[in-house]
Amino acid sequence: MKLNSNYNLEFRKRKEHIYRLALFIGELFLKNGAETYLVETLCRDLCKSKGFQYISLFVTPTVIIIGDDRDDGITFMKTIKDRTINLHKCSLLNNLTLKLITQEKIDINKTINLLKKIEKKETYTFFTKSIAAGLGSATFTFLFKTTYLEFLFTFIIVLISLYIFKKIVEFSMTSMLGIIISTFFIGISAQFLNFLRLAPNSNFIIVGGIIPFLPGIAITKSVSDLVSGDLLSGNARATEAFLTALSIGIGIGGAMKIWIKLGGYL
Amino acid sequence: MENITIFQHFVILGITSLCFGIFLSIPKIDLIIGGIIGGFSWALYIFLMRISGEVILPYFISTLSIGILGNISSKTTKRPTFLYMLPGIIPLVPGYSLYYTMFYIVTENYPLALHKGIETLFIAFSISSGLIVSESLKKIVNNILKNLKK
Repeated sequence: MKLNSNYNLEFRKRKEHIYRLALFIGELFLKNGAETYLVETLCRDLCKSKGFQYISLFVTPTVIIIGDDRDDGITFMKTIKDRTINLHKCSLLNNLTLKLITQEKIDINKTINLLKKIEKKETYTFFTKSIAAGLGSATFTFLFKTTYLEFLFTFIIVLISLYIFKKIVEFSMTSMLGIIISTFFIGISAQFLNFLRLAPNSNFIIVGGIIPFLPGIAITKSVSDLVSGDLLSGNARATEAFLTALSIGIGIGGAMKIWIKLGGYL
Repeated sequence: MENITIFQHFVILGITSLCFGIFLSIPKIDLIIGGIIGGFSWALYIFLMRISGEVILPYFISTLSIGILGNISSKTTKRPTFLYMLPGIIPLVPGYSLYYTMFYIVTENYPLALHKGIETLFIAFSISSGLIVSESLKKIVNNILKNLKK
């Protein structure tokens, strides 16, 4: 094997750059909650369009590995700890990656700067998001012929529970505990309002209030991963959806049970 | 839920889907399409439920409609599909049945709890199978379009 030419060094440098770029893009995608198969397809297309045909990619919701079995076999790996859902960032990243795939030459520093700009971008503040979620849940309760007072209560309860959820996730880094405590709060406060005779349909407050925590996104992602043949991440997401539903059940059931034990009625 | 017209259902769920679109930080232009898709699929579900008296099959068909409409709008605007599908799916997930399952378990009414729990599970299955069918349809259509271009 000959390793003496200048060409080899340059090739290796270019390869490193492209792999690093693909790794960074994949990391940002996964941090903002994109589907795994989308990340895999886009990163593979990016590397292939720049001339690295023999690439192997391994993407799950928690780790991303890029390497190949030819040449010198450099491998890059990144583990992802915290995941949120921000679909605007995913959309921007998607557009940027599609543009990079069609481009012949990439200016690495410029692209990294662009990616860092996307990373810092905040579409809506936490306050706006919680108000939107509260309005959505409160509007949903209109399906069950609730009064305007109950509309207001649902709105306020969802705001407070989302704040509790955010604080607990910041402290304990586990979303399950946050969901259990927030839904427990929803259950207890709805029963309490019913006890004060302010909200006769307190169960519809609960039905509306738990909507922001329901695992609709996890189900969607798990199915689209499973259909694309990404069995590992599909199963991971399905488990996540199941555990989320379980913790919602524990939260509400615990609230109702404690309310009965305290002497209240359902 | 019985004495509300289908149009009111459409409006209420449209607003709900739009609000949850903001919660998922979807950009402003795509919010409106997501809201309309969410409202339409829920109205379809209510309509089918009223004429057939079933729960599971209407869920399947309305999820399928979300998938198809979302893929069509993502084809026309050249943006990812999840921007249009997720706001509609969030209100469709059976929180109502989940709540009543827990309610019957806590009040120790186990036969009804079993009934509601199985209903919840089957609704979740029918939502996922609707998504599976729509994803597979998307792949078939994409392949046909690719072959036509060649």
